[in-house]
Parts: sequence; structure tokens; C-alpha cells
Amino acid sequence: MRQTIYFDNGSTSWPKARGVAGAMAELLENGAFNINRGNYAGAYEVEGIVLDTREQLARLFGVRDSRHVIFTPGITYSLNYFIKGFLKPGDHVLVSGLEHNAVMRPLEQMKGRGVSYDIVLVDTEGNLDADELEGMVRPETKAVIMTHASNVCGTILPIRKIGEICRRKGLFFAVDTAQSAGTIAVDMEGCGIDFLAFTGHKGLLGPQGIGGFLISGRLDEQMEAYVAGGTGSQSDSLLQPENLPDKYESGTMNLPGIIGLHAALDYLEKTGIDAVHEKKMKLTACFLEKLKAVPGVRVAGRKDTKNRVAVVSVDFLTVDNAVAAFTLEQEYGIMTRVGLHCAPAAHQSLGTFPQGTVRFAFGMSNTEEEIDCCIGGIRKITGY
Amino acid sequence: MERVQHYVLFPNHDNGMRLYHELKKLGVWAVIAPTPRSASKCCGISLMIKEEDIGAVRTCVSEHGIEILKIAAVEKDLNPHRDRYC
Repeated sequence: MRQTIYFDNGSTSWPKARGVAGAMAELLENGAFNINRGNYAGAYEVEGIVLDTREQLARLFGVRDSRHVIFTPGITYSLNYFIKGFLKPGDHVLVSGLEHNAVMRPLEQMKGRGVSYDIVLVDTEGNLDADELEGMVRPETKAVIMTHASNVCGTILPIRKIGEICRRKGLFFAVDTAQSAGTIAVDMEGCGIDFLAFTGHKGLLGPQGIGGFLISGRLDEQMEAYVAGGTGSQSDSLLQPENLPDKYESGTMNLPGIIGLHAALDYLEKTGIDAVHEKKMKLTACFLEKLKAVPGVRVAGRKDTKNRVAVVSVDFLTVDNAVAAFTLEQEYGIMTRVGLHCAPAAHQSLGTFPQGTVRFAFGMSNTEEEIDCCIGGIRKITGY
Repeated sequence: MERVQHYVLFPNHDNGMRLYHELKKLGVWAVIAPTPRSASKCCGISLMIKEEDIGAVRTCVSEHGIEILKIAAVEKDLNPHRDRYC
């Protein structure tokens, strides 16, 4: 059987945590009953696991009341809920220069509805100056939306400091944790975050199709339910319920996804995210160190392991990046992601637009031997 | 045999499940059941509880910030006016 090496954990983690597939299969084979609708013991049992999953997420993100944990089909949906459910004509928003299209495209859509935004530029390592952001706040600025860690170069943004600024200036603060959740600790209340968007299938090691957000009480008072419909509660009324989590959870939920995520969070709680981060950073350090000795490539963003997650973007200087990624896969079985990573704004900030990069994102199951194999492949491709 | 059954009614399932789990931890008898239509036109779950536990249930609700609509007493007898055309 052909050897394969999976370095595309920035897109989705693989393999998933032990127990995820089994838990999902168990549900689907033995009773995928519908919660909030079915009035029988099997449905109540599933509902109990969903409640427990909310509790796990509340613990993970430092929130006291797990009713503020909302499930969605994924982080893109979550960010759309915030951008389209909260912002009104005339509002202004600040974003970082590292944002994904999950933020930028909904914001561009909202320009047609009278919402404006400015980008706080980052330096070539992806670092953002919080003072510069503060200086860009206008009277009509309503919120700051920011990724916690770049999906292109891995740089971690100073969310605690930005959260302090938002509180001081009376702004709402939304954070995209796509690349950080499950890898580095995020204290939502401690960092002054009003809206924390997460996905289940990356660092949280769960299945695709499940994500969500956590919402502060003060934001909930001002945010509308972007999606409305049946919740199984207050069904005598034509109005959307105001209670959490029902307000934001219309329609039948992705129960296999939540049950899979529950198993993944069990694994993470037992393993500890500090241990996860340590392992990934050890691999990142190994990769960066060995890559230094290879001419013909440059790393976009930070060249060290400080203040980053295990996502490394490499620009091949002597060969098209797509050809490099294709060769790595064809000849070495190494799976990466090449291109702009749905983040053209970030690539513009990092000086890798439009050629993009080949992204290497390491996971818990990767090994130093796999990195050695990859470095060997990169050497062959670059001719050094 | 008691003539009435007491039910805790909720604005949504989530709060019902929360109270159910907290009462289980305390060893207080509770059974999840569909909300009696005579108690509320709102669909959803309710918790059947014993009359003598009402005080403990209210304390639990208060201590955990659980949202409830009310605690209703529902007659166990069949209503002679219901389904009168059957």
C-alpha cells in the first residue's frame, strides 16, 4: 500500500479523535432520534448528550452558562449569523489583515446594505499592532472581527489586548477560532469576547458539518436570529423564541455531528490541549529548522515557533507552487493545500498574492519521520 | 392514589433537560414527559414531579438559574368534555 502523509490539518484534521466514528455509527445504527421534537426516552437520551456537549464547549472556552453555546453547520455559518444578524446600515467594522473569506465575503455583501469596514494591516510576519487598531476606531464603529490565528501563516493575534480595547471603546468583539480551538486555550470571558465562532472538524478533531458559536449576554440582547423556524419550543407562537439556545437553533440539528464532536471533546479533555499544542509545535519547530537549510523556498510569516500555531506556508521560488504540491502528493504521498487558502486578504498582507503558498499544517498523529520525508521531497523539487 | 400530577413546564427543551439532570444528581424523582395540552398550548417537554418535592424543585431551579414557565397541577381523571364526538 502506498505511503501517505497528511499535512492538511488546517483544512480539516485527520485522523479524527479516537471514538468519533464509533459514536456517530452507534447513534445512526441504534437510534438517531430527533431531539426537541421526539417525546420518548431515546430522544431524551440523545438530548442529554447534546446538553453535555454544550457543557464541554463552555468549559473549553471559559464560559459559565452553556445555554450561550449555539450549534451551527460550521464556522462560516456562525460568522454569517454575527455579520448579518447584528450589523445594521451605517455600522462600521474593523478586521485584521489576516481574515478568511468567511469574514470578508459576508462583509462585502453587507457593503450593499450600508455596512462599511476597514482592514487593520499586519506586518510581513502577520503581527498586528493593537494601538494602530485603536486609532482606527470611528464613532460609528460597532465591532471588531478578528481571526485568533491565521490560517495562512499561523500567527496568533493579540485577542486579549484587542478585547480590552473593545470594552474600553464600547465595541463588540467577534473572534474566529478556526485554527486555534482545541490547540490553544481561549478564555472567552477573560478576553472580553462577545462572539466566539468555532468549527468542530479542525483542531477539535470532530467530524465535518458541525460548528457553532458562543455569545455574550450583551450581544444576544442586540443580535437578531439570522435563521428562523421550528425549534420544538413555544410552537403556539409565530414569533422566534428569545430563549437560548433556541433563538439561534432553528431546524433539525446535525445530531451525528454533535455526537461525534462530543466524543472528540472527551478525547481532548483527557489528552489536554496544552499537550496537543506542545506536540504540534515540536513538529513545527522540526520542520522550520530543517527547512532553513533548503534554498529555493521562503516561509511566509514567522520563521520561528513563537506566538503561532502549527500552520506553515511555504512559497517555492523556483517552481510553481501548484506543481510543487502536486509533486509532493504524486511522488511522496504528502497531502498539503496549495493556493490562497480562501484568504486572499491574508496573502496580500504577507506578500504572497497571487501566487499563494503550499501550506503544511501538522496534527497530533504526525511524526518527525514524516517531516524528514517531506523535507527530502522539497529538496528534490527545488533541486537542492 | 393522588388525583393530580404536578408538572414543571419550560420555555424550551434545553432548560427541561438541565433541571432533569440536576434533580437526578440530587436524587429527586422526576420523569420527562410531553407537556400536557391542558397545561399549556406550547409544545415541548415537562417534568413530572411529586407534590412533596415542589419545594426542592423550586430551590434547584433558583440555584441553577434554570428558566421555567410554571409548575402546574393537572387532573389525572379523564376529562368528560374531551373528544365528546368520538
